Amino acid sequence: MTDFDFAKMAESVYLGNRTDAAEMTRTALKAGIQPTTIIENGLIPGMQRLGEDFSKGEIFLPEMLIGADAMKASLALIKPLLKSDETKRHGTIVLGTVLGDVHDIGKNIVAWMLEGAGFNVIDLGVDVPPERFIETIKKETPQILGLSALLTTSTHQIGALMEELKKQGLRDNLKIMIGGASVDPTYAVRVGADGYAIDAVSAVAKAKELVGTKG
Amino acid sequence: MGRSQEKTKRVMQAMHHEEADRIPAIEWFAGEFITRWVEWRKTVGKVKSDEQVLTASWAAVIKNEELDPARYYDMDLALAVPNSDPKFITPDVTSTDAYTIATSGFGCTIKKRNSRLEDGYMAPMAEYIDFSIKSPDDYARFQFDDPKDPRRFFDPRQDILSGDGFTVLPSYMDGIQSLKEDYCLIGGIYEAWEGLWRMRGISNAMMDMAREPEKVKAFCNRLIDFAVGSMQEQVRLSQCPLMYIWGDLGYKTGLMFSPRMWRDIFFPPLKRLVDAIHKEGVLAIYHSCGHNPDSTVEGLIEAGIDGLNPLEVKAGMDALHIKRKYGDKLVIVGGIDNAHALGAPAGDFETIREQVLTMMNAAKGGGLILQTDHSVPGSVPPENYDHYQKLRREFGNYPLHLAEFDQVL
Repeated sequence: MTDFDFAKMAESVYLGNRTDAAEMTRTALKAGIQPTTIIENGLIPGMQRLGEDFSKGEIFLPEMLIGADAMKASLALIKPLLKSDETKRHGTIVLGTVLGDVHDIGKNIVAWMLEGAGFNVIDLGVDVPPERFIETIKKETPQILGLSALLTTSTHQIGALMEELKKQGLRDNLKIMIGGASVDPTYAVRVGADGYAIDAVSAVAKAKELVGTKG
Repeated sequence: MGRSQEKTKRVMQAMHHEEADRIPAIEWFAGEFITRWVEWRKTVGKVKSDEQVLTASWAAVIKNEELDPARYYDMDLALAVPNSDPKFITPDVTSTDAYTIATSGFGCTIKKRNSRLEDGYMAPMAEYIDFSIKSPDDYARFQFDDPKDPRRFFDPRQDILSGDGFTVLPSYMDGIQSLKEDYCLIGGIYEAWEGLWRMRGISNAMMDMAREPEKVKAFCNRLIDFAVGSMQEQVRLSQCPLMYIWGDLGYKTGLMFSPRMWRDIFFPPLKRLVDAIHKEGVLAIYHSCGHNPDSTVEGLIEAGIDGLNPLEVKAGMDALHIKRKYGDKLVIVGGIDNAHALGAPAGDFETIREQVLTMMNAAKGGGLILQTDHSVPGSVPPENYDHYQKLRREFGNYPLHLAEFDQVL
């Protein structure tokens, strides 16, 4: 294991080289390296560097997307080998873009970063009606609900959903974080969300904070 | 001088950085806003009409002039665009109670939730669920239809991007006939990035740009060949002196792709399109949502654009900054904040007054066409929009005196 070049693997993720990322994952698995070790030492550092450089404006969406694509190529080989508790070692998060809004790139990047960071991510997609969020929360009992909204015309759906969750007694054991172009920290406070994240890196940090995980 | 000539003169003076009699104006009203505004006019303006206004996402058919916000507020410019989908098709439309799914002339399949105004949404954006270009190799295989096909201009429009429930709208030429006596006309065509993502999906297109830039560049050139054809036919049929180029480079906090990538992939075809527009004797107004940093604005000026639209305030765009820095090279088309000013709680006229009058300083010396910083969405209360127009009427005549918000540029 000590001979395996995790830095090179992280670099393949950072550069969005899906062939190299997949090939190195196969090599690592053949060498008997634990799947969680590959994620933590190879994939997470690569995605973290991508996220940090994106936040600093040094890279842009195309580089971020191919990086996430390379990570997914590796995860596709690793995931079947993970025990169920290993796939959600930081907890489960249900994500979605609210009713009437179909924007998904930011929400997808958050989902990939959270997955890479060790969360079990249930991504409900875009234009998600409140009843679908509620049904999934009842079934999956996630620790966190993440809501995304880009259109100002759909932002009110966040407040409406939170009211409904309260009414149905589902709010107490659930942390809610929001993000997207049409919301900000003030709005998060106004609707009573537990957190707001401006980008994918801060979304991962916020999610860890909400479930009480360090690092 | 007829109304349209008078308005064209006013608009072109602004485009040539001269002060006319007043600041010209244009607006794009979202169908949802028009629906709400018409009801407001019927009530507040006591307009007696049984007309059920036909609205689509970005278009409306209004017979009663008193119920047409563009005529009521005496806009100077009117947008007229034909079907400019790469493929001229009859959309395959499937509807359920909740959704409409349709194929598009962009080779994509979209799913759009049906409007339910009572539930707080109308004509929401479409979700792109499939694309005919499935790999970078498919770019070369895609065949464009003729951009000058007469059906695009003379047949009723059923291109789906404008449709709410895929309303069939009057033809481009019918639109021209109803507008040409009263407005200065402006056409519209999309540039390479806008065409690319509609045909391949945003994420797929971006990954191709990073991994297969040469294939993307070749396709962008073909997109611009098509755009030039559509533009030329619009100019021939409508004699419009202005053309919007739909671009969209930014989002709320920055650019969607790096300046280097923009320069490498999209700058050359954009410059070619702008040159072709100028060759027709027409001026080009580039539409780019979101935050466009100064370096991007400078690149757009280098590409030859004459005007920049819409300067989204919520994305940090500042019309006065652009005016001070680039006012001799660039006309501002936009800048009225549709989120925090016009979108303020109904009746918050102080907030509107401050933003509108401050922004109107950018009209000093000409070089400004008033427009909201994208469009007027349904979230803008009709009385707020009406107040903005009252300010325009009161303070929009040259020479400008902008009361407590007057500034020296």
